Amino acid sequence: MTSPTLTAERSSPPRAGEAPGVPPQALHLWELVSSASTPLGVVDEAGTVVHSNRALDELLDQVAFLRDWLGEVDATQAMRTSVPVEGQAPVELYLEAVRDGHRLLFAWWEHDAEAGADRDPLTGLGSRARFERLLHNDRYDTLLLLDLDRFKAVNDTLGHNAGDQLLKLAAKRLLKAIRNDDPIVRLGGDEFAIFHSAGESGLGTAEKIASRIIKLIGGPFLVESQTVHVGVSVGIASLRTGHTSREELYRHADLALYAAKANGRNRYWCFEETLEEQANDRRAMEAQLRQALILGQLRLYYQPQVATADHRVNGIEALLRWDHPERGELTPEHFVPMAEEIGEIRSIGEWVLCNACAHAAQWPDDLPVAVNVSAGQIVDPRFIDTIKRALEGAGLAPERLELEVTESVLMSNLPLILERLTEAKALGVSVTLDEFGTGYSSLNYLNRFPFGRIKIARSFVRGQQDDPRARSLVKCVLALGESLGISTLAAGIETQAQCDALLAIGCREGQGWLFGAPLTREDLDAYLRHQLPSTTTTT
Amino acid sequence: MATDLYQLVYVSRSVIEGDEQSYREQIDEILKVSRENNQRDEITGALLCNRRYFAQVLEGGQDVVQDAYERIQCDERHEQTTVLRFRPVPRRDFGEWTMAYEGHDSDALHSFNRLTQESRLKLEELDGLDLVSLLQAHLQAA
Repeated sequence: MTSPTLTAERSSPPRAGEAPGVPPQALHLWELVSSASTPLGVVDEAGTVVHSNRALDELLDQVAFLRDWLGEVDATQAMRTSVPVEGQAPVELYLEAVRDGHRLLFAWWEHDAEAGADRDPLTGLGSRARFERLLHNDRYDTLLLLDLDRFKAVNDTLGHNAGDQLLKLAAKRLLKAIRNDDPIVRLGGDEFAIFHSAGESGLGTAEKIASRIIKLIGGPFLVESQTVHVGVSVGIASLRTGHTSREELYRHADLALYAAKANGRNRYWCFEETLEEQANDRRAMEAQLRQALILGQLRLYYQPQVATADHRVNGIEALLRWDHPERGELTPEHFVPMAEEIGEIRSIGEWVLCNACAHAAQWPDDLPVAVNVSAGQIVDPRFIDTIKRALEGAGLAPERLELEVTESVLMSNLPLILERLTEAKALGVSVTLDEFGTGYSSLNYLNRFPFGRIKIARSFVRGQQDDPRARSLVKCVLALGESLGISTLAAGIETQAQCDALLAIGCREGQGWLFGAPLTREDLDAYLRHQLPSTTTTT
Repeated sequence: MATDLYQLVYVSRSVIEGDEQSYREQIDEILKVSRENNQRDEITGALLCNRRYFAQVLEGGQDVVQDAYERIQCDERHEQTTVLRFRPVPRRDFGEWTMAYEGHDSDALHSFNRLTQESRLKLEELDGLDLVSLLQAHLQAA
């Protein structure tokens, strides 16, 4: 429809049976419009305002030209139109899409200066400044916080322009998912918030909105000639279901969002009291993790890596453990992600590298030491310096240090991580691809970085005895390593039968309980004396 | 048209409820609105649908095709969209149609029904070009 005339013929809300030409399903629309405090009207297909609420009536009375205003009434084409007014600030007209076969028109005054601060320039949604004001507006009792899943990957792989385009498209879809004129703001990055008035229905309507958002955002986006898939996680908090104050509303919605992500993303989560307890536990653990190094609660264990044929040790992996005062011994997957989030990973990572290198310098036969490094450590600009300092401090040859990275580390920020690993390799340090087979696009990684070694994930190693498919995969990785000149090591070997099966298909290196559990530094020294009786410890 | 010519092919699951008559009315409504929009945006294309699936081809400038796609994407009458093809093309395959419709009892629909009735159909495994050819062949035969 083009150029309709907004001839405002006021009408009172029609009652059922009294409204010629008005389909029954449109009647609730009249009620919605009447109850809104925003100037709001219903426009028919000809562009005539067939119904207006009191606020719009007042606006139409004040501004005569609005009645004769010619413009596009298709919100998908122009969500916002600025109309100049002589001697006054321009009028911003906000236009909505077709609902129930009728077009809705939003229109309100906005001074440019205020409007600028109020609006997110990229998406046209509300800004963070508007969010702060809305948070204290009693009209809205429910808050939905949203965070796009996998947005960072789009930004990293397709560039910021594509990322911006995606945000704009996502914002438009969000506008289609809401009810009435619930305000949407962009909090920054890929975070959005929706204010909602749940009314007497409790959280039901907010949950419906969240479901619809998840469905709409989950559909493929066309961005710069590419099909892009993202998802969205939603946290919901409401004054109606808890005893939250307005100040707590944001924090509770944020906790719910955190829970939505922790529970697998691409879903919504409503705030519940247990989230508060979990958050307290988490805060306590964060505080403990900050002190763990100083209190000497971190410990390194060492697990031998051997030749599968004669069990002769040819390398040692350093494994980090945290002796938690209440929870007992924790493995890195239980605290390294937290250490990354709270910025402790650098000091912990440095401690691990320095100690592992210092211990390794004492080992006989120039045995190499393998150290796991996490994404947060590698992206730190001081990573290379840390490695240099650890090697120099210990007097260890770079060739004896092996960094182990998992595919998930590579996935987090591939270009930067590859750049850093290349720098590390230039020092003489070798790099191993750990847990090979558990992530995806492994072959791509192999093509993009000269790994010294591939570690086959324990799940394949365990499966290969009974499962012909797992066995084929292990064979395939071995052949791949051989043809690329990369050595392969099977992790998690527990039985001699597993070891024999691996030997039979040409796997020469292994690691696991069969050859030795993770040992303390002292036990490792004894193990090495027993394993390598011909050589003396070079202390 | 200032921008390059793009062709989009997608399939989605239909969630239109109701009896045959209301189904047909809703399809007619979709066609009416899309033909109006497409005429304005110089989009051409074709729609094929049965009670379970939609398949649609849209061709035109990148921006307008993208806008049309977003409108469709937010339409509650379907879900689980899979984009099979979105790329620049040298010329229009459906230049004569604002939105050709292969619906009630057409040969194309029978072919489409056979295609979509295969058990365990995976939408993402359909080939966009196959759908374009299927529609073209039937439109030319008609």
